[in-house]
Amino acid sequence: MKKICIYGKGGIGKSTVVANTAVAMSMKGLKVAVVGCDPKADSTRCIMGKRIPTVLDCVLLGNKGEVAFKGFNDILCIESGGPQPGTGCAGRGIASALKEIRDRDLLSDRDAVIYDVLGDVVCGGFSTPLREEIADDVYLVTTADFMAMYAANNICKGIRHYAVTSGIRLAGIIYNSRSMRNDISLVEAFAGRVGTAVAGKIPMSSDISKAEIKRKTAVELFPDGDAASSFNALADYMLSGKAVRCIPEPVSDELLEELCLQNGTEF
Amino acid sequence: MRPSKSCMLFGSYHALNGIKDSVVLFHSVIGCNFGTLGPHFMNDMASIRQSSTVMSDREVIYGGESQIRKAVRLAKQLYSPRAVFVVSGCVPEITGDDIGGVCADLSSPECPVIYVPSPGFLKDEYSGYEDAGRILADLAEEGKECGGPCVNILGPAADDPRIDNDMNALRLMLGPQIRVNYVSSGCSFNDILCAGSAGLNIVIGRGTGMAERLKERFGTPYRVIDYPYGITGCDELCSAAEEAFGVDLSSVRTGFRQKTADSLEKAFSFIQGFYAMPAAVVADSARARGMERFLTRELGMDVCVRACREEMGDTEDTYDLIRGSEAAMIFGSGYEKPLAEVMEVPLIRMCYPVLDRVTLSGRSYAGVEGSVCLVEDMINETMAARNLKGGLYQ
Repeated sequence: MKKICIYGKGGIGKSTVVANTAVAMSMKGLKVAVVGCDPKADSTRCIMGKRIPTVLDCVLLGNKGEVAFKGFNDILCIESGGPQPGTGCAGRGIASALKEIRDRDLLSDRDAVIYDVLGDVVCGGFSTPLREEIADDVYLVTTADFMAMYAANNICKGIRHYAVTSGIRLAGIIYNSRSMRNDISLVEAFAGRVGTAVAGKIPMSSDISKAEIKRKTAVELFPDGDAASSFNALADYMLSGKAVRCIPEPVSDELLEELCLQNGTEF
Repeated sequence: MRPSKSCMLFGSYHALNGIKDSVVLFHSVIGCNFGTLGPHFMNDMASIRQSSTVMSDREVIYGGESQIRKAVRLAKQLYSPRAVFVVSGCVPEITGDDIGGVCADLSSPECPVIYVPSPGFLKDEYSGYEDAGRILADLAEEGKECGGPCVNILGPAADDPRIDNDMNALRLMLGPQIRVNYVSSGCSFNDILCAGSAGLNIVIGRGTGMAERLKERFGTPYRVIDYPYGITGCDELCSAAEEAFGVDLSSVRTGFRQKTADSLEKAFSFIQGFYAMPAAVVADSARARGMERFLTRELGMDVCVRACREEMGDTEDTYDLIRGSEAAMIFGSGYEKPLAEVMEVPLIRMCYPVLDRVTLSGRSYAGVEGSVCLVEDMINETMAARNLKGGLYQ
């Protein structure tokens, strides 16, 4: 089973990458699962065409019923769920939900599982997918904006913390070109510095937003479009076994600033 | 590693549990309630005024504010309390429940709901006691009158062994000239509201947080004393009251000495046997110092180890000291029972917690009767010991 974990700054496009890549993998004949690890519980919306009950709602709030649902192309969709903003401990929620998923043995028949993890490695709870052998490969989604790169570098610190004592590795950077400046050079430079490579490039395509408003993925709705093509390529990369896996070497804040200046990020 | 003290939550509990018409509601996991309830149950199982929100994974993840609302409502129904003190544990202070906001929302003049932050990871039990005391001092109201010279006694806790008897003994010592208002080990919520009207705050070891705040708010002076064991303890307490109120308690002191001597005379030979006997004292600082003073000055004993829990690190280090000493008697809590058994020496249970004895009679360790009871226990425990009774017949 290929176990993949997607991290990145909030709003950077993680869920879009996860949903479209999952669909792309499923269309190659793989049995895929997507596990949303975000209290917003919207990672699987475009695969299911609707929101689904969450694991925590079912387990902790007494709402009996299933927690795993099959969506487009039999992709198994699970949302961990969590508290309302400003209350409780979402990190503990993620840890608790992942334990429940494991206890119920929901993923054992899958060829690939993709975890979509909230924003940043803000606490131990959001690091849960990095330990306990939940994921093998971590991909970071980023744009060419300084703050997105800053977050990616920060997440590298979290990955490194667990990578040195386990088999989890940073497997690549996914460049989302949806930003003020579409220039992959900075992301390539950053990927090289931390020890990996750019795994894929997501174009700024209207296919994605058109599909999302219809609760679909671009790969499903516009299979011949440029966005679908990039997600297919990304899926191939992830499954190829040729990803540049590493224990990341995060860069200093000063070096990151220098990289941004050298590679033409406009401020 | 055996920590010598507990966490902040225990300190808050000890500061609040003596308010007999109020409820302590732990907003925490179940263990906080269980841990505090054990020693209290041994002390007074007829007066259980504590409860818990019993936080589980659900409250950790989704927040426990609704559970506080539910628990406060149930506590009001069950106990009809004058006030509810919501004592927070570690978990909600990490997850960030808005406990203060909920308490303010649930509070009313008839039944204030008071938030007492007590995350165990933040401070130890002694700091927790002081912080809770400051909160209590802030509840004291202006303009209350208690009529005549009046003192508050801060420091003792409701679950200290024989504490009600000891405090009654202190009342007898000071009265009728000086009235005792608020006593931290047993009082009403109204006593706290009136705490600002006292002319003196007597702090027995801990309680300086509340005393300082009362001084800031009402100008009330305070005096820190050791636990008033024996004649010297009585003298210290009476001196503090005499200085504060300009009264003469010499007749109290004289009577104390005479009554003590009359009672102890019957066992004078045994008491002589205590002379130069080595002993170890392990207790909170007020009791440890007060007991050391009594044993050395009044019985001529040799306190070879005096350990104050506030200052101790690993309890095992203290026990090593005691094991390596000549101590023929240990004064401490129920925790020291295994040590005393191994050393085959008597244990005098004089401080919290005591889990293997109940006190149903009026026996105290403070005041005239207290001195007699204490010496009586020392003699009897020594005679009951396997190896050391010969020491009494020197």
